[in-house]
Amino acid sequence: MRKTVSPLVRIFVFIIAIIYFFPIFWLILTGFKQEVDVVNLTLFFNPTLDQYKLIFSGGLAKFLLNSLFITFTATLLAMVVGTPASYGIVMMSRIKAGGDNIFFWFISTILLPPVCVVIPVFVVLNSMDILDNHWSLIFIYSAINIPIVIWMMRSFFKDIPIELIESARIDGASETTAFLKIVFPLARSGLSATILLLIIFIWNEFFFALNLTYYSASTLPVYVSTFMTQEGLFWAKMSAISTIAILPPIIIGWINQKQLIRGMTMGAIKG
Amino acid sequence: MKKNIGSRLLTLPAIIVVLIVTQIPIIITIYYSLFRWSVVRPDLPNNFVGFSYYKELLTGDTFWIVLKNTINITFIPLAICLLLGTFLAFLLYRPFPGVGIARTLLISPFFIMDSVIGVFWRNVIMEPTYGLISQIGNFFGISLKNLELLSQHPILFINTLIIWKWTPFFMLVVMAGLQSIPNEVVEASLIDGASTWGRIQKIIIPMIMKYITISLILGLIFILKTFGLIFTTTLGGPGFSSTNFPYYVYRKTFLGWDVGRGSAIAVFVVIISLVIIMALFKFLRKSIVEEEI
Repeated sequence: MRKTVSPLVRIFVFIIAIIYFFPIFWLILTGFKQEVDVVNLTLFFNPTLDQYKLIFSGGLAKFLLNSLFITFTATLLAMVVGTPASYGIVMMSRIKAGGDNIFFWFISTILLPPVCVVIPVFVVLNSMDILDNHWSLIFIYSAINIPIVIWMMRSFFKDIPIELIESARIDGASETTAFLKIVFPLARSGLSATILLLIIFIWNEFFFALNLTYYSASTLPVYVSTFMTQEGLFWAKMSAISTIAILPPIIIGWINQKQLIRGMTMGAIKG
Repeated sequence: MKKNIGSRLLTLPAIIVVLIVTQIPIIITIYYSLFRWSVVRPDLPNNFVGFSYYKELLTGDTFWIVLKNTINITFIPLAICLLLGTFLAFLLYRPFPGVGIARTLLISPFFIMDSVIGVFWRNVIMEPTYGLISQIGNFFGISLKNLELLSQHPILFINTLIIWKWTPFFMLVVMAGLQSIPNEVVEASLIDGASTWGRIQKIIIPMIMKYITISLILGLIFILKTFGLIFTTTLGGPGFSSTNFPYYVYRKTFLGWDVGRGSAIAVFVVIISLVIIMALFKFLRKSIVEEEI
């Protein structure tokens, strides 16, 4: 029997939540305004889709497509390389073959700030003349996200009872068959959670995108950052672009709250 | 034994790719930090300068200003995020009608890309003349036109954005901790007649300590990386007054094209990060690995 939440506290919670969310609400709202209405405080204005028509006929489409293509491909690659690695580490940990050491090494690579690696990466890409290239960015993004796949999938693979796999092996299934027929279906919720987390991370990534692209491979975060010095001009347009840029991660985040926290705390917290 | 080799083969591609992109570059960064080298002037020779960039950094003023900024831009938001996040977690961990909506609203800022947060707050919310805050001020008859937060209190500005973005993370982790406390424990303490504050202090806080610790260490690592929020608001200025280490590396390398000095600063970032990562691992080995296996 937990103490119930008093009505006063409930009202207080809602007031805080609304204030906290207000900047996002205001951002979305501003995207539906005419530029002249932007500095108007009122909630009552004639909503318009003009900004959205304007940005789609303007520069947005290219950056949106870049973001979609790079996020999708890099997520896929990171999953393809990271998932088997994670399974291998869990198997090694089970027979005490040093799986945990490899696991901790992977975690340490994801925790280092990107500034620690960006300079040589830039120099090498520059000398190979593949800066501002979709595939360069995809390669970097898959690589830096493989450790995230490993740490997240590890906590899901560990939940699968070893007896299940062993009994399949006794019944004559090969290692690969056991993985595909037993482990894979059981870890499906983990796979989808990991994919969604990767989509958020890659979609929002700014540092590498800023330094390794100039124009043709630039993603949405870089495009948005070019609007920083507006001094009161084109706020509605900027808000419409921002709305499109933030909607996918927010919606994924809403659906996926608990799994996401489990992933971000390396499985220490099951959420 | 055969199984063991199979498991190793599965991890090999991942190890190779991660080595290439994250480990080898760190070693090259250390190497670069020993040379005078300008990317935009390939005609100039790359002179070996030894540790002189490190000496120059440590004896100059800027390094210490940046160190102080980094501490301010990391630990102040970290403390406030933890307090605010814990407070919200206590309000939200028990079910009541609509709690899902309240949680959903509160966690949203966490999923927003830094460049949108920076650009939107800088312009639409905080702009001194037309921004939302000064409009609201006008509505109540208070003129906030002189409130140039961006130039007068740049660190306060950045920290506000960090706190807005990262508090939900702390809230979610602490909330998971609170929800993990078994009902019986709370009931037993109620029967024993523990006061609310006594219950929080003696039972709840110790039981969620693990969650608080992990949110603090991870929060520290993530907030230490802050770059986009600075890039889209203060640009590290005025002067160096809101430049942290990641932004300092960027300024030296990508604005000044000074690979040697930029690399030397990056090496400092590596060292600082490694110290924190060691602390995290000590904690993780104790609390996860031994517990689970």
